[in-house]
Amino acid sequence: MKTTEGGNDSMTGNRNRQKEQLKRIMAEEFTAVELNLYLDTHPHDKQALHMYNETVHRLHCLKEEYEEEFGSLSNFGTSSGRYPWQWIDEPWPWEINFCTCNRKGVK
Amino acid sequence: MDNKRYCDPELARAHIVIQKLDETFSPMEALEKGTLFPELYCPYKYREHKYENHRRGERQYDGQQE
Repeated sequence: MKTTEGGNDSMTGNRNRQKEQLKRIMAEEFTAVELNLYLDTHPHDKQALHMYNETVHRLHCLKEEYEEEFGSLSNFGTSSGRYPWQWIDEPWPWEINFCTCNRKGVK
Repeated sequence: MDNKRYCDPELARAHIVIQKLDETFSPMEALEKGTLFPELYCPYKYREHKYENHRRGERQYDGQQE
């Protein structure tokens, strides 16, 4: 089980930033799914396709930024690893408690 | 086969209006609201008193008192 070393301010700030970054990724992923579903029934809608492609681009950038700073989002196949292997020394994305995240503050 | 039997009374039909792309929520707002499209956003109103017993796990069946 991974542990969270709480206590000092920089660590807490780092965790909050990690949460915010993850939430942004979730928001872009959700937007991509929504546009994906819309395009399923409107395959000739160029504006929607444009929005979808822009969303995918933003999502790639956000994921790259996140992984650069906080480590891999998944454990194999989607991104390269750095030394030392980071997957074991961070809270996994699904272990982060979003209930304590200030909803208004993340926008 | 008696065709009238199926047409009168008329069977129920489902109609939906084809969605048109208009304004969209920002990604963060969409995540919080559960939809990207403002025209699809119509949340149920939560009524505290109506579901109070359900939340407490005190739901009674068929109106019978326990």
